[in-house]
Amino acid sequence: MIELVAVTHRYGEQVALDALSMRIEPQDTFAFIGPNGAGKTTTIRILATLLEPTEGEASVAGISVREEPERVRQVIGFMPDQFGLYDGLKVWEYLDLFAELHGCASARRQRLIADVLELTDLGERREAFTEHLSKGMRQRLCLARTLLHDPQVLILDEPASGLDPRARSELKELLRELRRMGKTILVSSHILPELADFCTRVGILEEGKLVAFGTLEEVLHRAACEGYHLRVLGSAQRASELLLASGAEDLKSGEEGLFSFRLAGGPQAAAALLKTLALEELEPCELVPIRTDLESAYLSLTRGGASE
Amino acid sequence: MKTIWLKNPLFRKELRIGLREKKFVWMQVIYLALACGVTLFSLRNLDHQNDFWSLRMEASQLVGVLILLQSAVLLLVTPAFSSGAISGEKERNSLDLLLVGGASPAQIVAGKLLHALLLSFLLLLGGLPMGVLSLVLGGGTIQGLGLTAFILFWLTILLVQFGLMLSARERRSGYATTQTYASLAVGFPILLWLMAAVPWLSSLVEALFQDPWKGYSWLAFNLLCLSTFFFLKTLNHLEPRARYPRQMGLLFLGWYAVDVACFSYYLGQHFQHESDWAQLWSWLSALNLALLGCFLNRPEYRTRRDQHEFERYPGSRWWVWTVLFSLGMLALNVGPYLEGDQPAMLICLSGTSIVILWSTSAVVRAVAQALPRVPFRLVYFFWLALVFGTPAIGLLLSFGRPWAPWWSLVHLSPMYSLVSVTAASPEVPFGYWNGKMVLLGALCPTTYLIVTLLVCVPALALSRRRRG
Repeated sequence: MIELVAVTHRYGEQVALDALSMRIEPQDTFAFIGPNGAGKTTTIRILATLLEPTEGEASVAGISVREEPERVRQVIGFMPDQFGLYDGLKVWEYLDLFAELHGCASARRQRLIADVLELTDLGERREAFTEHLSKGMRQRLCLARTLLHDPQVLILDEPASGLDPRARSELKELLRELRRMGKTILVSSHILPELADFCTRVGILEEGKLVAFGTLEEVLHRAACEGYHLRVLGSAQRASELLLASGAEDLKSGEEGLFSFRLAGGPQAAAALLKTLALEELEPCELVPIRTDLESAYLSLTRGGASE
Repeated sequence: MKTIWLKNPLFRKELRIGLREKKFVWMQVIYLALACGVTLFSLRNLDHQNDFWSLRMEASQLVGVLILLQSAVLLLVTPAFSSGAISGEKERNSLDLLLVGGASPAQIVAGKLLHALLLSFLLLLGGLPMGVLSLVLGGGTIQGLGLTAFILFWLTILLVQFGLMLSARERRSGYATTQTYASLAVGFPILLWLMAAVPWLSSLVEALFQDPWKGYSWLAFNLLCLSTFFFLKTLNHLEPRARYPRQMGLLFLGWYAVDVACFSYYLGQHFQHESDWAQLWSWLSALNLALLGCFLNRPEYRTRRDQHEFERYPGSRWWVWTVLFSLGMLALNVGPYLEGDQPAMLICLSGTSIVILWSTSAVVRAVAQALPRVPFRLVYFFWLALVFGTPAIGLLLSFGRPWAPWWSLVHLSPMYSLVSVTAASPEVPFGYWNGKMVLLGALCPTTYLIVTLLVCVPALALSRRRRG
């Protein structure tokens, strides 16, 4: 449904995206996460046909964003990280404007507006001026706008940014509803625990490169495999030296021979480490992968170099 | 097909928002109060004891001053309506939404343009009673009033569109507004200076305005063409993909054709006794039209990357060509009026060389861009052959005798056009023309090569990269 093949984008000499490739299947809800400046918004703007990639190809629903941007715009609903509402317009007038721009006939527009207002629970605010809406309502109005032409794909850039917990919860419910309706959703956000609740796939971007991509379980597993708790009964000093020599990172030692660390290389590396410790008669008695959530996975897999 | 003009949903949106704001109402009130105040003050100072004709004369002058004042105020206010229109959308982050939300760049620009024009015309209409005073008090005519309204109408369109163009280019409304007013403040004096620097132009314009309606129609046509050019540039600024090279080329061709036709017609009517002038223009109309159409039909970059690649080279930047062209035009027009034959000849020929050779080089670039699959060298050598080869062969085969049949080959070269145009100008001293063949022979090819290199290096690089 959404495909990027070796997409590179440069702003002058600065590389924002570096040969990014990924594929999102129909009806996936894809969480796109990464530190500030990682290239999320650039990717989203390329998919929304607002930027032309310097190199590579991107397509939405099989339509090239480079060759046929107008057709891509018919199949996507795009919600940027800022509302872009007009003061002085009523809620229904705002929706009517975009419905007309999408080519809906006058008779159909009223029905359509009523439907999206009902879906986003804004029916009662139909006659309100947009500047009088709360932040959560504005966000829902923006989402209502993106749904007017019944797009197959929704591209949402930081939709939960700046919302209070209740508004975030409402938005999450709305996104769940849209997923049930069969929409493919690409959502970028910093509020990771909530993404984990409803996303089917996750991509972690850093410095323009994809550092992790897959189902939520795959990404969590990968991050978890890299973090361990270890307990040895032998010399803690010697164990610490061996751990460092084996490539352990972020090593922290606790009381009674307890260590926590990250180790690249998956189960093979862990097995090799155990063998080394046993050969040195340090009596390893516990090696437990650290259970992780999306936030820990994110922190584990990114270095935060691009963060502002 | 998107609805661009009166049924444009963005125009309706602008109207809705605009009419709900108090800003415009206050602006209209202040404008009219100011204008009425000045009018009443001036009327009070009229000497009513004078006889009818003196009073009529005074009233006529007063109305002239008022109309001028009103026009000045209008021209000052008008750009403000549009200079923040599109940059305002950018600041609000709604431009992206409009573009992704199904609005075409033309729809957006037309919506903004119509709204700004409506506000400006409301101001214009509001001030109409003061113009009508000229009919009541005497001294003015309906035709005069009509002409003033006619030209203000087109000038307003131009100013609004100019503001919109800068608004589309800038991200901040403050920058766009400052640039609009700064450009107008600097641009108008430069335009007037250029007109004064080209003596034949001002004399032609004077001839055109002997019939006011024809003269004003010609002026309105030029303002409309310039507005259309700004409109297309605005579209280009809105989206990286929105480029309109063909429309731009057609616009310039039409524009140039009408201007040349107007000038030629008036020259024919008013300068019949100076047949050389008419001859010059008949030459120019055919030659310049073809060249202008070619080089103004700018290359269509297939991607943004191509454009960046091309524009990395200083020789491909538009301002290099603008400066070069301006210098050439200036030299061409000022040269004949200089003291002394030799410097006059030299400057005139330099100017002509630059202008004509600039054009021919630009053709090479346009062809290389338009036909990316044709090896660039082929295009380049074809052009070189046309410019240098054909006259050389013609000269050789006819042994330098203009009456010989092979001499007609010489006509094919733009170089010959250059020489003919210069020679046809009555101001160029012909005594030097015959004696300075060597100078001409050295000057033209040298300039040609320099200019061609400037243009062709980037085109060659791009062509190579594409084939690679």
